[in-house]
Amino acid sequence: MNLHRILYLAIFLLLTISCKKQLVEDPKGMINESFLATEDGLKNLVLSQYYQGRLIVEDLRHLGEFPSDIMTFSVNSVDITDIASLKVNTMPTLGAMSDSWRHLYTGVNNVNFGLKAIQDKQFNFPTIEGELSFLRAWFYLLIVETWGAGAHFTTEPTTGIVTDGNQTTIDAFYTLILGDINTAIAKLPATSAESGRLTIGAAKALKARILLALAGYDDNTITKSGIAGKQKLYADTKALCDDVINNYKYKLLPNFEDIFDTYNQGNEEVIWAVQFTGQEKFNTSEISTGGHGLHRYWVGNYNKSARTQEIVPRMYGHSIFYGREYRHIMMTRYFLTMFNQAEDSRTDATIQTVWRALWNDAAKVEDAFGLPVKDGKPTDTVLFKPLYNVDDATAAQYKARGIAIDGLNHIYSPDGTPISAARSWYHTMKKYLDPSRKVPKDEASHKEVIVLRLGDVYLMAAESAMMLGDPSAAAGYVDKLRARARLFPGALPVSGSDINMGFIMDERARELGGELLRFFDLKRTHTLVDRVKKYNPDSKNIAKEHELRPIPQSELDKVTNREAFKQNPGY
Amino acid sequence: MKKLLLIFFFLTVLATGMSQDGTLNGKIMDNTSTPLSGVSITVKGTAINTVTNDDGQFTLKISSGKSASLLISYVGFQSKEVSIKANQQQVSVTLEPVATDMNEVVVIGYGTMKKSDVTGAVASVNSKSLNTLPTGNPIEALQGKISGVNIGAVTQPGETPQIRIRGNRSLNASNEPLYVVDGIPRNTIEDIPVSDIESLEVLKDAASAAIYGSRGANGVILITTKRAKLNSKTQVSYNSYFGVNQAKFPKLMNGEEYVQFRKDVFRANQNMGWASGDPAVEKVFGPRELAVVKSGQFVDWQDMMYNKNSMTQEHNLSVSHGSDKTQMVLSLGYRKEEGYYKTNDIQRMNMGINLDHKINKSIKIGLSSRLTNTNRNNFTTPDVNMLYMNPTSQPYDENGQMIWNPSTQQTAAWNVLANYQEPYVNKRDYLRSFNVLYGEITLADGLKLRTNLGIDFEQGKEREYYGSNTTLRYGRADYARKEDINKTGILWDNILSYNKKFNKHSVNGTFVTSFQRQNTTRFSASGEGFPGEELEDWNLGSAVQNIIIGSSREEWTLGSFLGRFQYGYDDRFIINFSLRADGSSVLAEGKKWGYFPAVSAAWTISNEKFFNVSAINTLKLRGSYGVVGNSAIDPYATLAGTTQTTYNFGEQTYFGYKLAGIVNKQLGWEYSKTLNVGLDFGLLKNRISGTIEAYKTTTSDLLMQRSIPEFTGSSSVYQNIGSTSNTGFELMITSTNISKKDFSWTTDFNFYTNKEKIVSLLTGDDMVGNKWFIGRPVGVQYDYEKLGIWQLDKADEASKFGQKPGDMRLKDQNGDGKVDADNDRIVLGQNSPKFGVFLRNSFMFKGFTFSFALEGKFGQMISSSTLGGDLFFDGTRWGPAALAENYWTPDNPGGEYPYVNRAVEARVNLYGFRNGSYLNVQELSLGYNFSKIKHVRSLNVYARVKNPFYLYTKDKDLDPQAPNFNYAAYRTSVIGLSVNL
Repeated sequence: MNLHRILYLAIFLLLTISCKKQLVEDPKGMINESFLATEDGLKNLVLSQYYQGRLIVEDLRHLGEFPSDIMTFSVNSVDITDIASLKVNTMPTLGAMSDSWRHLYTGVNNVNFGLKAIQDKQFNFPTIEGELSFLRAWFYLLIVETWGAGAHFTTEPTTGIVTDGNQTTIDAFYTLILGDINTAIAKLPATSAESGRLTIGAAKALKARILLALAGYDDNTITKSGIAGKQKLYADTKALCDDVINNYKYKLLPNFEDIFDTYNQGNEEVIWAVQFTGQEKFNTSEISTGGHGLHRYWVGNYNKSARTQEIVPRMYGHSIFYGREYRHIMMTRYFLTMFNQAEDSRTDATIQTVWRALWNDAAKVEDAFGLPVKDGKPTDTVLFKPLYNVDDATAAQYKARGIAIDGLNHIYSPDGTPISAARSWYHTMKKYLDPSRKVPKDEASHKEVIVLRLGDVYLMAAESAMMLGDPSAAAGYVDKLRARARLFPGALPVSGSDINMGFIMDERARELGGELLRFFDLKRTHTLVDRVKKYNPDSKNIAKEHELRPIPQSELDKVTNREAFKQNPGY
Repeated sequence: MKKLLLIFFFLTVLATGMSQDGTLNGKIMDNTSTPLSGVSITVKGTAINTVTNDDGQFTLKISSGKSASLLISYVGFQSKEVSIKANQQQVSVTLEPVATDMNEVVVIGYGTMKKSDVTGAVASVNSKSLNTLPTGNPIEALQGKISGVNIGAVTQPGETPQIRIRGNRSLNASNEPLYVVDGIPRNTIEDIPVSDIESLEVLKDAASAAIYGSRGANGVILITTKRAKLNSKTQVSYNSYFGVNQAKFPKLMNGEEYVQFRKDVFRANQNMGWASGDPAVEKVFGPRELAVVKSGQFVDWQDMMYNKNSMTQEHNLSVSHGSDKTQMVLSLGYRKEEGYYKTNDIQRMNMGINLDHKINKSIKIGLSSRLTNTNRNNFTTPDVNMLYMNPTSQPYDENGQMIWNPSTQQTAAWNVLANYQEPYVNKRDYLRSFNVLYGEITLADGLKLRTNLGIDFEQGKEREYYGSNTTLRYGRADYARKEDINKTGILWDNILSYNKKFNKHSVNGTFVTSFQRQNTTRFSASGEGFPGEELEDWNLGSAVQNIIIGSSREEWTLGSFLGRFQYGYDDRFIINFSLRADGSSVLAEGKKWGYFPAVSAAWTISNEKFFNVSAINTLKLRGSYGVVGNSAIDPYATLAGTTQTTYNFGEQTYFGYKLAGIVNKQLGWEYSKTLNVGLDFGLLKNRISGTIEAYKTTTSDLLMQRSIPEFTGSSSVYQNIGSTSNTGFELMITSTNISKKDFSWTTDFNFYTNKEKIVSLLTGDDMVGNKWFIGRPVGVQYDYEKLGIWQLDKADEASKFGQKPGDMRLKDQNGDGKVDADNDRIVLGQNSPKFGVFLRNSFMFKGFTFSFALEGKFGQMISSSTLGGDLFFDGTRWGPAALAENYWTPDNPGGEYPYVNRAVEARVNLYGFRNGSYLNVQELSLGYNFSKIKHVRSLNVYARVKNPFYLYTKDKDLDPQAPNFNYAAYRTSVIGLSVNL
């Protein structure tokens, strides 16, 4: 072997020198977790949790609305059908349960991370701390009211691989929630230049809601949660409501319908709403098109008559004006008959009863955007769903005028069960309709979703006053709301003698129906079983244990301490 | 033709018959009339010998006036003795190939080896057997040809099918094999034309694959491209084919069936229910639909949506030449294939050079370099929108204008034909350059040092532009996006090898150092609302809204050392050891290095003196055991990151960041250990040869993307837990059934079984949330068991389950009187086949060749959304033909599907679970070889059909290889030409 060959070998041996330092990763372009524990990072973390609210309000169509006395299922949502008809064997596997659970706990974990970073690093960021505390209180309120003591409880951010669930007592949740909301009240600013940012007013309104929810539990739970007793809860609630009504900028709008007007967002009645924007880039959510989909769920088919199943001429299945027909939720007959249409402006603001032509047969003209045809072309009524029964003679008269008519008797059978053929062809609940959508089939609405508004605060005040034994004060609060709902002076009178729990729950339905609160209201007042049994035949199987939701089956499948971490009773 | 050939032959004999000086001229060919060069010919009993030239011709001087015998032998062919009459001047000999040849050289990774020395499970496919199907993809070309290798169907042009070697072993890490082209590991081989491939080897057992250590767990596919032979004349080859692709989509209801369906829906939903009687169409259909129903002119949306026949073609030209110092191959290729979606096609152009040069006695250098340009026009599947269109929906109005929302039943559904009319650009252009430069120096006798330097570069350019009326925008502003992707892979191997024979002892040692790094960078931008459609994506700065910019970078590094030592004794015993150490950047600190040892041995029984069975020519017993790894997780998976979110306060917009999820800072390698036993045999003068293998692979420390309770804020985390096993049996047989001069028949038969099993999981319990069950295969369908439909006479029983007649009846597995998720879901079937078969027969008669191949898989369960989750029962969607009149009604109690008095059915997906067993005719081929054309070495014309039809499918309602309406496994029929000059 000559010299140059030895040289080659030597080079080869040199090449075998370890390349250890080459194996260290340098993740350029990746935003690291540790960034979130800095001042700039925490600002970003808070924003991401406002975003989490977008997912949660969408989930509330399940958790907040079903089962109830005022809403029942349509045809297109298996989840809603199963929850409303209380199919206890399928409910644990519904996406509705696991999605809500995931969205809420993702929120909890992030907020835990942020609050721990503030604590560990002794940052002095009062607004951020207030916002995070408010959000954790809201997340945990929804969690404990949905799953009760079956829910997982933690205040620590997850760092390693955790697979054991931690079920605890209701008072543990409420102790944390009350602590958080008090922090929020102490730290949040009184006002914010940015519409949709949390302020003290929102924290106080949420605290009123928390206290009323806690009042639904037994005295032991209440005292363990750090409150002296039920009367104290109601007194505190009333005081908080008065504070919010009197000392902040919020005002009842004179016209009820304006509260939900897509062109009147951030109005004075709104205390806190989850925000969406027309700028799609900043509108990400888990529904693929961006924005939220609440506008769709309460919309039935309106291009056919429920009575005859015949096509309604000059009408389409979807439109910007009358909405995107998802056929997930329909109102119960009880809800529709609860309103005094002649006196109460909230009736037409809540329920669609008249549909006008979207298409002119003679001129073969349709409005491209699904608005009733205008400008010289007739906008005749083509479909009418009055809030009363219609006999054959009346129906024939309407038919002769070219109007398809479905009376309540054509949509509901005598006991109130929707007629199967009419499950798709019902009245629309209007509060989320969004005529600012660009095309009739647009899946996304960018209208804000109201979480707290002054009307609710008045009714919470009324309820507290009633529970404190002052029905005339309660009637006073209700009268303030009715003042703007009256179609003429003297309509909708209310006095102290009207006040009882049934009345308050009816009035909450008339004022707040569809606003993602009903289940929680029925649950905390323990009227769930009675009212649902009485007024919603679809949900007549309801029982006491349905005040709690099932822990998602997928979650039970994954926890490693199944013997300790149990499904809620009844599922 | 036969007569012409005889005349031609006669004239040739006459022309050469003049010489009387004892010269014998001859030609030697194989059974396809291809001339064989380098064949050695010896006159029996003398030292007179010669070899054939490039045209297969030879000349010998024989003593005139005497008869003689020629001994003819050639590697890979059966030796032959031919007698020559006195004064015979002309002879033509056809040699029969031997089915297997233990002298054949196979590629084994960082070297080559004689097949007789191979101790592991290495299967090899040569160029000829690979090239039987008209496909642009080497993986598809391999389908069925190696037992134990399960290759899925191609369901769109240009797609690389899924490949699994000996089953799935990993739950969450990759189950993709490693590809190695000309010695360099790569991510893809889709840019290598099949005709450029000299041989393809599959390393199936761990002992063979252990030489690739951390990336060998899923098997290794080695591709060697064609190189020129030493001292070969210039050869020009041209291969070309042209033909059609025909897509086979699931059959949907025809017009009449759909009308009946809608009427039944109406009837079931009437106030009086089914008792209301058959309704008049006027009541059921709206004016626009009614016109269609009455005219009977139903719309066939499938017909308008899909190209019935689409074109496919491929052309390859190569020139090769070899001197004693320099050998080269130049190649040029072109392929174009159109898809069944009208916007879809793929075009590939490639050129390559393989160059080898000997500088002097001890130094050799060379280059393999290939450049490929691929242009692909993609499509957007219509998805469920296809079902919203129905036979009564009109795509165009009376003026020929497109109706955007044709379905009056589902007015939200956008016209699925819109992308054919509206501006639609969806392109993926790739430029790939793959280069390997080597230098090899012989340091001493048998001692060589080789260095390989590889540069693998890929530039991807993605372009999208969707006009506002396409299905992706449905009336919203137009959208454009582009993305540039650059991938650069650098590899440097140094291989020191020693190869020497001492009498009966042979030794082979190899020591390698290897370093590989891959870097990927991306840049993308998109926007909406452009001044004009003609701008497409070429002026993104003019977008008025939603301008989004993104960039990213990813890099991984792998450093390795490996050694291999082989010792053989007397061609009877061989033993082989190897060890590889790999360090990977993607794993956690302290877990980066892994060690992968292997040992294997073989005993060639047929070379033993005591072995004397005349029917058995070859008998070799092999055994191996080895450890391989899998680190196929994404870079940075052990580093915690964040996820971007958005929010706004009024008009003020923001980005926010939240936790991206839990990471595991303990991630390490996944290890697979395989014990493999094999038997190679050759029977009846090697006319029947084959291999039997049995193996058991155990994979432990699985890189598991484990679902964790979502109350942690994450849904999953990677962890090394649990183990799986794969056991299987493989058989490959090649048989030359008949081998006559004018007629031959050969058969290839493969059979394999593989049993996948999860052996252990985190706690010893099943992980239901992940559908992982101990003792069951990795991928299973886990759900309720469907018993049928509740009948009228069972109404009482049904009501106990909250059901009514006409509802689906599910099995209450534990008999507790309710059907619930905890107790009543079972494993319904497995995703991977239980066994597979392949049978190929080829016949030669005179110049004609005919062959057919059958490929089948059995025991797998497939899930079809067309027959399951996508079904609606309220008539708002079109349905499969299988649903027509096959739903329960009081009049039709035998209907399989539920009553049509509902829109949705919660467990309708159960209908989609089907037995996917099939036996497919994979290839039908007829060809003719023209021989004896002047200046032409060989000329072959052929007609071939890929996937002509199924011989058997267990389920009659669907195509088991493409069970959904978005993609089709298509038939390809071509005519082709192959010529060598």
